[in-house]
Amino acid sequence: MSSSHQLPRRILVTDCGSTTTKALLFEQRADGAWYTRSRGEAPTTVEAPIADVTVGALNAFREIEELSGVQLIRSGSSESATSFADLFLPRDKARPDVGLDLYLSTSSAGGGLQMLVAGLAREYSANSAARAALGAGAIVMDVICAEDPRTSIEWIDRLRHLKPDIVLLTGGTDGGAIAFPIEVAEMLLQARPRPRFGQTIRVPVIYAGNAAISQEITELLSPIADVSVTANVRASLDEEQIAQARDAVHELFLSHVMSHAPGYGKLMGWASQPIMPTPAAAGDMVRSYALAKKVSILCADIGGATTDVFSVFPDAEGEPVFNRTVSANLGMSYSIGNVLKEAGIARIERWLESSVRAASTSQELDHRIRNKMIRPTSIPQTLEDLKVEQAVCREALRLSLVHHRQLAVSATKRQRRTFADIFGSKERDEQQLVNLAALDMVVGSGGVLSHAPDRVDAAMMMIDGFGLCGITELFVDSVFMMPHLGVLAGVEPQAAAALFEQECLVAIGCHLRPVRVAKGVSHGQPLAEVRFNGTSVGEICFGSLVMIGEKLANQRGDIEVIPRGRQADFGAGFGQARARRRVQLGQVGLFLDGRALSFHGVEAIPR
Amino acid sequence: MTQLVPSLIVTDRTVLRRRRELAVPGKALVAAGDNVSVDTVVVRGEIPGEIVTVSPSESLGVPFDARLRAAYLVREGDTVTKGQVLVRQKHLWGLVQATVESPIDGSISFITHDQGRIGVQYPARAVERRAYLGGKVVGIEQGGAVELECVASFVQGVFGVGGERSGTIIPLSLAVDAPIEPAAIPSNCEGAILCGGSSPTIDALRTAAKRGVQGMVCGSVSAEVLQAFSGSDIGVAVTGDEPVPFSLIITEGFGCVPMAERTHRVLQHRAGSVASISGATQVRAGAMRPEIIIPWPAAEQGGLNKVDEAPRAELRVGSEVRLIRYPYFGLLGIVRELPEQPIPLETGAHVRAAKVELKAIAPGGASSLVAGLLVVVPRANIELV
Repeated sequence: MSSSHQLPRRILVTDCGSTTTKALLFEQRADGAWYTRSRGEAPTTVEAPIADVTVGALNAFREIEELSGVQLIRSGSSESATSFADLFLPRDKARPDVGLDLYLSTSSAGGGLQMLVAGLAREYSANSAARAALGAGAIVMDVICAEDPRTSIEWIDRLRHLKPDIVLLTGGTDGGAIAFPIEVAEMLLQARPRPRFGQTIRVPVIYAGNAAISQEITELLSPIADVSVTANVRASLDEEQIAQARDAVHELFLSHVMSHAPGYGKLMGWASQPIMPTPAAAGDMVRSYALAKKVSILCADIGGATTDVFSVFPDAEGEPVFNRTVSANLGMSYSIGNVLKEAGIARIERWLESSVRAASTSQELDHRIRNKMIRPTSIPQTLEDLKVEQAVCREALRLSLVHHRQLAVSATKRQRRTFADIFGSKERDEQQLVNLAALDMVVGSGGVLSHAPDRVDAAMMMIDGFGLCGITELFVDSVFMMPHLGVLAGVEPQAAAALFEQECLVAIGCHLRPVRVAKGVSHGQPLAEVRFNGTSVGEICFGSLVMIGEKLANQRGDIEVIPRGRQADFGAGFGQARARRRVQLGQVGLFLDGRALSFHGVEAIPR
Repeated sequence: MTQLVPSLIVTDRTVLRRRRELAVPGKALVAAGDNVSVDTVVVRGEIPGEIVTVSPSESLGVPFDARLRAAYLVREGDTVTKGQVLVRQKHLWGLVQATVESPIDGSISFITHDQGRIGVQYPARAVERRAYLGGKVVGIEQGGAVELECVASFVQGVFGVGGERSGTIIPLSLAVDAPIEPAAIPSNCEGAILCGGSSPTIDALRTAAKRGVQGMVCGSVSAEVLQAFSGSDIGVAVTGDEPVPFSLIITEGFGCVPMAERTHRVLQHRAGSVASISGATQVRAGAMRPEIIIPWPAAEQGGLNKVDEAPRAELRVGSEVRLIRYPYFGLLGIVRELPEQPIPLETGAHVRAAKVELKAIAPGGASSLVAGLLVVVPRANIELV
């Protein structure tokens, strides 16, 4: 038995991002509780001229050693080390500050896993293929479907330009259409796409379409691609099976993409578990936390170019279902112009206080946002400019949630698609999988949320952006360690959940708002009494938002919402009381929100 | 301690290299050492034709078996014409024939083993790549990529639309802060690249298009005018393929902002010269900015000793800068101080900043701002001029 078995465990985890490799050293205390002992970071070195990701990783390890005083690496070993045992020192009971138990890593270096997906119909196989790719942590660079107006020549040119890491080809139910997947295979044959890394390597293609032609597809593509065949993502129109395709993507990511990216073969040798794509690891953390705590959760990471949304909601049978979407066109710098384009300046302006609106015309605000798009590294200098960015953030969150809801379905159950589903008729919130009335907690991540100077601003961006209702706890991710915790959850799930709660999440408050309000309610009319731990703390009045902090801040207790009359539904029905136990009130306390969900404006919030 | 900050290159003389290649393998039509002009075709290749799939088994309603396979009259690589019989199957001792014909003129690209599908391919289409800039060929690569070099005046814009074009530099008779109206467009400007002014109206752009200009470089543009000009609202700064009558480049940003004096001087200095212009912009992942390249005449191509230094991307006291964020967007100034310690902003952030003496005020600038005023600006909101 190893001499380390009585020592508190020590695990090193890195996330190799596009620009920075961040390392965290997790350790157990004597009482078994986990904490983050040290953090280190260094520029990622996957691109030329260094072109070896392990160089950046080693720099991050050394920073950890310097800051923590823990000796991790065998001296003189780093150049030639190809395994964990070669590189890292073993644990030693006689020297507690020496050695490591495990090394884990995630990666989004070089832009992460980039995929092209193809499916016959946008609403069916293309949709399923996109979700399989997203579920595996990929960025979907483009989607080919039969409805696409681009010509074959344009597609061939695009395929050569895109350089996808993996192509996922679907289309046709089993026994159904065959022409589309064959046409796409023929275009691939013409384009001969080259992978980003490993110029002599053939691009991997996963075929998950009509089983009747799987051999033909394999044959057709064999001169230019390595083809794997998995179960049809849409064997019938009614049934979707994306799990096998998603697993195939993940397997190929490791064996094909990662192993050919500069230095990753060595990094994989050092790691104790398979390396995960960063978004997949972050999603795993959200999923495992939700399952462990038996909560429904909505998490958004809003970056400069994309917004990742993760959710866990129970389906009709009560089974928790995880979904992830990437809105690749919604972000706060490179994509901020797209938020403006999709939302329109009027929707952004509605979130600005009247004093800000009075200071600039709509056109001036429009230009301000577009100038951020073309100079994305600039930062807001004035409070007014920050408010404009926060208004844009609200719209980015709103639009990304719309996108998420469109794609989020129960992946294991039969999904009967009616014309209403296809043509987007409005359905009641509770009929959708992503049902905000049933949401327990929301987590915001990304600079504009995590680094908002006032936590109230972060809370309001999420409340307004998502249109929260019911009873929802609000958190921000203070340090973005979700990818690290996600891969840690694979070996120490309890530790990951505890670290997520104690070190990653900052509780802001609890938000209460009616899901529905009856017609004819007048402004200011009390809708419900709110009790905390049995004591009345305030009322929710129609049309107003009040924050109750001070004495309630940072407390945990039971919330009860007792409607006055039958004017409001807080998720249990009109006039029905609703309660939640052990709610975290956070730094701010309670948000008693009686504003209509179609609310169009914001003024100073009374506290 | 030096700090690198973003900058757009604006220089009277520098050495430029550009790589010219096709998306498909091609053949270089020039040799190392050749002199080329903007319109010289330097690479030529072929794009394979589209493939039309024919399924004889489905067309004839019979399974694909040895008997049907024996009825195939063509092989991979054969040239066929429209209507030509590809498969002839005989029944009833040859009395009845069923045929499958080619839908197009082309060639047989493939015949699949499993189902016998025939891929008939359209003939390949020739594609070419022009030099885009006038200079010398300094390298040829396998696969047909050509490297060109020249000594040129070089101006980078911050944003543009439209692809590669070339024309003659004609400065507009306008102050740098003057709006560009239709009356400012010269009557005889076909093939020109117009330069100067702050922001054009849509009527000015339409007038310029009617008169056949190839490009326009100005300080700024309004979002509304840009949308009317390009035909769509641009949400992400990835451009170059817009169906616009000429390439448009802005040097400062969106709104009504004058062109920087330095940029204006460089372009004025090269009036009458042939230039290349590209509005293609990609802000993310391998940033690409729109550009104007004005090669010096052959006699002035010279050696390195004639090359001025491009502005170094180091921020120092005395650097001339452009402020790129509200409330000072578009203003120019001189760095007077670079405090070492971070300062608090009213947003709550603590950042490293610079103290900048303002040089000029944009039209409509706040009345509280005066030339000579010292303002404190985050270093992230500064661009070297």
